[in-house]
Amino acid sequence: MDSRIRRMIFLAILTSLALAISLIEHFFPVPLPIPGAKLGLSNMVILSTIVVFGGRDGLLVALLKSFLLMLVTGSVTGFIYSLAGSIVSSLVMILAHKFWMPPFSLVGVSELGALGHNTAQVGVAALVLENKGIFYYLPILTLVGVGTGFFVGLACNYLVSHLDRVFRKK
Amino acid sequence: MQKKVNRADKILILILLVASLVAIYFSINRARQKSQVYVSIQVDGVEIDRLDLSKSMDGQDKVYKTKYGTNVVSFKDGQVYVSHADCRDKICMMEKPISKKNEMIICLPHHFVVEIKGFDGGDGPDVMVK
Repeated sequence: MDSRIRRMIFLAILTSLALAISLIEHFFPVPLPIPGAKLGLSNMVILSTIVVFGGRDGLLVALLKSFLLMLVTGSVTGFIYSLAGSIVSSLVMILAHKFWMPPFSLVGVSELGALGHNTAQVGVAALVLENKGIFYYLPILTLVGVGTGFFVGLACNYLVSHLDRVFRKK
Repeated sequence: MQKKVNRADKILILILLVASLVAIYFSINRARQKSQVYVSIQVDGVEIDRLDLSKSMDGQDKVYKTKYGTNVVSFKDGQVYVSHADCRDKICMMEKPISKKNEMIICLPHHFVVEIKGFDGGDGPDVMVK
């Protein structure tokens, strides 16, 4: 099979996987007045894509997922905030994976991505709503992000080896 | 791929945990300090200023010059008192520092009142007898 088509198919499946996880998360109630605040488990898929397919494809999956999530759930306002978070966290993870992997492992990269996501989301929310008080929720978001980021990073270790093996197999 | 957690990861997690907990502690502390009461400065029964009554106000002197005269309000240990007045009897300066809701320091010649008010509506009944 043409390698480009094979790659596209994989990325499409990965995108829908990330979308499915995000959808389930979307219906998880989060007790914070920040629109679009979620557990961020879909980063499992995004980080794995970054490692196996490269930063560009990882970012593509993240953007597509965010966009599709908005279309499916209909939450347009939440989209703006989560898009900012997705972009920043994807970029952070791409950079961290490329330059800081020796000191950090995938867990650390995932944690950094979570941190970037939360900070960007809170920042955009504070900017749009013109309310600095929103930053008071950053510590709590960070705590949750540290927890889920750890789990996501661990899961990625296994995901990456399997994904890599499946993709490379002829 | 190494299936483990590096030392750098643990340090990062530790830093994030500590920083978040510290930040939460401080924001709760701040909220509790500022909320309950404030100082109301009144002249001729009209409130002309509102001041915070927290430890951070210590050392800050507020000067009020009206057509009646001058009064200076100061803070110490979360309490407020009149540190200077150019009225004749200076009774207001002799009053002890106040900090509880509904307490007042009055300078009669200057029509000047320092009153502690609460944010949750201090105009409820003072005492209820059944």
